Amino acid sequence: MHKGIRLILKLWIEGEDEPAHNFAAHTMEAVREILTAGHSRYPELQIVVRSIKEDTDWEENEIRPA
Amino acid sequence: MSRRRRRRSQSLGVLALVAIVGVLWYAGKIPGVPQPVTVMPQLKGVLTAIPDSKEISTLLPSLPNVGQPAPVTEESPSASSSGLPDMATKPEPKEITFQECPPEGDGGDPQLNRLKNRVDEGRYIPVSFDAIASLTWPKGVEQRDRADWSAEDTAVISRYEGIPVMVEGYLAAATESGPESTNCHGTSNELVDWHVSLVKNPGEDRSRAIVTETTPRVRPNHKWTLTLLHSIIEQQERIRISGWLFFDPEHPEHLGKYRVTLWEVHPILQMEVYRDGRWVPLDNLAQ
Repeated sequence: MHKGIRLILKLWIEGEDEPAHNFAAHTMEAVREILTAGHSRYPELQIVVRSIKEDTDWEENEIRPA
Repeated sequence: MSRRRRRRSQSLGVLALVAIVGVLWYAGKIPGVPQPVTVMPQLKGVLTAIPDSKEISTLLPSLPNVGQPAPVTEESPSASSSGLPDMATKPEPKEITFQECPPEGDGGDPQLNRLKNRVDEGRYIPVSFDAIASLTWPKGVEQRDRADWSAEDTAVISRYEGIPVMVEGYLAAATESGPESTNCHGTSNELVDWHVSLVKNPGEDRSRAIVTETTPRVRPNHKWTLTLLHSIIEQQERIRISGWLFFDPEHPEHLGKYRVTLWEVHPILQMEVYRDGRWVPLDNLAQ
């Protein structure tokens, strides 16, 4: 049976970076590459990243993980 | 020649004479009389010797809900139908690099970040809570970078953005925000904004609030603490916030929930609380 699903993923990413370096672009690229690299372990699944964007809503969501 | 015609030609003659003298004065052709360009700096010196409204307000007792005297401003603003002053030219924002984070931040909308990261003080103009709360904006600017706004929409926002305002009310909340491009995604406490929700009447919740924000670049000049702000909320003390009128297009979904308008006072440059019949800077209350 052929199946499909759309997942909503929320990530918290932190690490060292140069102050003026674009951290949002850097982390988005990293996530895409991590997914691509891990895909070889699940060759039966076709994974397409539809969209990634920064979540700037600090009212609705917790500030950072405990 | 009739008497009326003679009088009219005499008036025209006087006007022409005044104009000629004016041109000669401007050109510095009248011996012994200094040119306007040499007089203006002296005149400016006299004006700057007069204390501005902010200094005056600390000397004179004031009452809540009573308008302050009109301050000396960069431009003489005229009132518009919005209840906010019309300023033909506004002070140029001054920003700093803070902990190696440049004024444009580390991404996002660089124009927006520069405005959030300004650190200059203004000659704040008292405005009513309602003047800001009821100020409108074009729908086309919501959730869009400033570079993508139409010229018409930019003009609408620019009419009021950048006015140095002083607004009174009560606090509904004061919370620490999270990492954002404005502050180069710094995670430490001193690198995030504080959201200070200002409401018109005591006890109102955040859905009726104007969002005002303190920024990491301004806070080192003050002794503000969240604990102090929370005690002001608890006591429901009247507060006066001064800073720059700013439009934040990012979160229209928060309207009616966490805010009443997308217009903000951001950054906050001064906070005062009304105690014992006078406005006291929050800095004076810090332990």
